[in-house]
Amino acid sequence: MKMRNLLALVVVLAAAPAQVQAQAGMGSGQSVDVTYRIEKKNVKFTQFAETQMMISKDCDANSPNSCEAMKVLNQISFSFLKSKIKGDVNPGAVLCKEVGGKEQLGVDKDQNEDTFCKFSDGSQVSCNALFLYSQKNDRK
Amino acid sequence: MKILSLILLLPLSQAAPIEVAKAQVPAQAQHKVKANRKPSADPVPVTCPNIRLDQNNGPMAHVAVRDQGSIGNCFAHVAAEVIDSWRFSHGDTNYPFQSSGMSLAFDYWGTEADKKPFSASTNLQDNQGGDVASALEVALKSGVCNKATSIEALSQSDIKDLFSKLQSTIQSEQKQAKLPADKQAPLSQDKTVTGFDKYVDKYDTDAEKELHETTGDGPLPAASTLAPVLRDADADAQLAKLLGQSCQGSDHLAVSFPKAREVIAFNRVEDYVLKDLRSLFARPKPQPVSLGICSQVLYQNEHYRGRTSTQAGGLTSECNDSLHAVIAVGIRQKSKTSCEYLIRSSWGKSCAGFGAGWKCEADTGSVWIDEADLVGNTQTYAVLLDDGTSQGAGK
Repeated sequence: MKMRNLLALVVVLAAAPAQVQAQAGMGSGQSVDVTYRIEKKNVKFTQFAETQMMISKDCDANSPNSCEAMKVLNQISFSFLKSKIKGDVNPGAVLCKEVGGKEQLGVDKDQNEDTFCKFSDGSQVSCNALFLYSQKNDRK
Repeated sequence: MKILSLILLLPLSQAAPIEVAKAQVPAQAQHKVKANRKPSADPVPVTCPNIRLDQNNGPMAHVAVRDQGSIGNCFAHVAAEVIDSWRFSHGDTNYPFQSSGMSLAFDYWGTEADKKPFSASTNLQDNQGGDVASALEVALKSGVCNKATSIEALSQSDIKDLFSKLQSTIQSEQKQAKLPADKQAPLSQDKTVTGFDKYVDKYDTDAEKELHETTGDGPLPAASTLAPVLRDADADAQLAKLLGQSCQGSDHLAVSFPKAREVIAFNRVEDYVLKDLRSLFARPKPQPVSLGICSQVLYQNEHYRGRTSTQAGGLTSECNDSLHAVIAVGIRQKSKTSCEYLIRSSWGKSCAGFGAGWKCEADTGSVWIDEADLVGNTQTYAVLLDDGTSQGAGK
């Protein structure tokens, strides 16, 4: 992770110390298993109906430290990034890069696309979930 | 997508119907409109058509949702969707062949390089973007690639890495001034450019192999094809062109459709745009309408306004920096006096992070947006009309 990314996370943590607690509802509600083709491999995700969040099947969405993706979801902020976004890009994909993840294109069985953010431990989360939770965290 | 690019593209539209208005450069010192100001509502009761082009065998029903990630190629994804909508509503049932927005973007950037030099750092990193109507023109000339087997199958970060590697190698070679006199010499005849050849060899054995593993047969040209391109002084632009046209055989498709009717909206009276958009959906066999809008309205504030006036005027500089191509795929009644549009973005299937005021259609990448708020953020729009005029010459 680059220095400035680390710095961004530190800033986020300092601004929202309570976010180390699991967010109520992040892993609650109805969910389904979905599979995406990413780099020629089938990758399984859990998709939550209410938020449309997709996260690696191996991650426990009720535990904030179960994987790198969950840690980031609990800490991420959009406010520091807002001024950096220009043009037409997917804001979640920009967030992914800022927190040191690797953006990856996933394709479902109907060829619909979603961009995922992959972290150093191999866990992945949909970039749109990063976008959603960055705004939720900022509202706390 | 910049105002400047629109002006540059105007000569291309001279043969288009007179609906294309002359663009004017908005004054730099435009006053900012208060974000929450609502445009004047049409007080007259209106009956809106109830249409979903993405359902019930509509033209968009088989068109996949795209996700551009952090690459500024929304215009090309939208153009690809417009093309596929036209194909699937005009007898083409090859639904597995979905046109690649990424390939079309490279094709466009390579073509536009004659007027505006392509630079990977600008076009891929700084999100320079492009113009939907012009991307459609490029597709008419060059055809489209199957996204499942094209460079679009690569992850966005791999595409960016590829250009970074190539750029650094080119710069390194140029610094060492070891380029041969004949830059177009075939690789096999020139073994003196050791650094460069080593790189190309390495590219051939490592990067290409690795990328081929990702994409099956792989969308990248062989090293022997790449070598002369990389030696070209204008390597970035040449490479963009090469990547755009890299598909062949069953992965390539010639396409034919009418010339797009394009309207510059911001220097029209809002009321004209409002009624014109409604009329486009009231036509028989409507096609999706592509729109260039201020992206802020999607996620920052549903009452955001990028237009400086309800009359002919301009856009705020903030909006000019954040123009985003989207596509209207539905319309329905919102109130007695207004309609709302279903707007599909190219940010994947989820719309959960979009503005809280918009109704999100799960798994479609689309949200319902009030027509006045949409028009208050629209720079331009374009549509293919099914009236048999201005047929393009597909190959």
